[in-house]
Amino acid sequence: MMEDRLLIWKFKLGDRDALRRIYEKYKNDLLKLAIALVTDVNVAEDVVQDVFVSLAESANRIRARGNLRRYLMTCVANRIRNRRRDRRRHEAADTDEADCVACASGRPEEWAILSEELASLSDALARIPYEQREVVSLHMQGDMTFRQIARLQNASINTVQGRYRYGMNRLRFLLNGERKHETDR
Amino acid sequence: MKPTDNIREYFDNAPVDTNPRMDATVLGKVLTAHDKANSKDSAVLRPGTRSMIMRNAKTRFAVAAAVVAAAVTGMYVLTGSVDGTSITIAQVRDAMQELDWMHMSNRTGPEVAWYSFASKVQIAVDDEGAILYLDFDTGKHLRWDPSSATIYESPIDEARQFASGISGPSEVVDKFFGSLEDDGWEVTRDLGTYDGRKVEIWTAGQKASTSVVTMRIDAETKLPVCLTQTVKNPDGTVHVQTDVGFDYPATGPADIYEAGAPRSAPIKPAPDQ
Repeated sequence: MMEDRLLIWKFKLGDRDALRRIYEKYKNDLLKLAIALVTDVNVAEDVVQDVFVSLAESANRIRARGNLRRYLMTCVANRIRNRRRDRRRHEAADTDEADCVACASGRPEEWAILSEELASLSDALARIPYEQREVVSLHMQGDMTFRQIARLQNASINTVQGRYRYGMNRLRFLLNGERKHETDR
Repeated sequence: MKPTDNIREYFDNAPVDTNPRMDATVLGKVLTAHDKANSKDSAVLRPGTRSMIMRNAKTRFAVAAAVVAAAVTGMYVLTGSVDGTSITIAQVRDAMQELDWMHMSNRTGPEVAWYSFASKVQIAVDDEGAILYLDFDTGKHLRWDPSSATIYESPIDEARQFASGISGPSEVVDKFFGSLEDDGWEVTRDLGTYDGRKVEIWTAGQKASTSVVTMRIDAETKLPVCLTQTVKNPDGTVHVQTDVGFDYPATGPADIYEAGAPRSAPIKPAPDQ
């Protein structure tokens, strides 16, 4: 926490190394969250890159108080929400299906290298409704409280907790079902 | 991965790595964006200054002390030997310990102050020549007034804090970084000379304000040497509101007598004690 405050302060004073350090420290966490949220690794990479570029351009606006990791996680979640909203406006197609098509179409040069475990988790997350996926991912990966997620989703805490319960049950079923299937084979 | 009901384990045990070549590309884009933003607006925020100085219509010497005491640590962290990749509070504390005494003098008035961060002693001579000697370790408050032949002793008021609340190196860090706020102030940095030495000049201002705060920092020692606050009058003339010089002696006054009280003045309990 203190290290983050120092990093932000140095970054605000124009220190490139501080920004480099923030990038190194949080890129993997942000990529993991983005992959959990959008399932399409290409999109996840774009989002995380955009978040860092936006951070780099906003030294004068970023607040030094608070939790840097959570701030960046929220930026990723908001960017993905905006992206989904924009896509829904322009396309009638289901975004998750579109994501999976993009996934299968191959990538020019990968930035994120997914472990087998993350690929399985991402597949399972893709099969639960987005709002539930967001709650589970932000709570598990972003270490955000239900209250913070409720604010982000503009929903009540009860709703968020409900989404979490449903999401977790479904995820448990999907992941363990898959594992059971693999074991049977 | 073993089947488990604990989804947390799935998240924790699902690592992601990055391709170093793409990493360099992405980081390059991020740093380019940073450089562009900086060149577009070379002024960067000097956080905390406004909240600590400017909100007070009448800037007080002690407040300026707090700002500079904090800046000393901040500057050390910024420019000293502490590496951003491995900063710990202990390192900052070590750095601060090298700066035990700080001496301040108001260049437009008679006020003088000393602060010892190691022994938590604060000494101030006010604009009427009265001397305050506060030892926060023993809780003693000594006061000598030029109109009196006696030094009066009383306990330090519980609400009073060393160096306006900065009671130690780690607290300095906490308070300083806790006070960082985006409140619209911009700082420009320049190089110059001051009393024959090379200095970095930080000037903090705000478009809507007529006040400007300037801090000169010794380019070699990285320590502030002067803090000035000026206010532009409606007729365009500039009024210097605060002009404080700083130096960092190896030691300071050992007691109130060394701070200037007459040796003949005995120390007695204050009448209201």
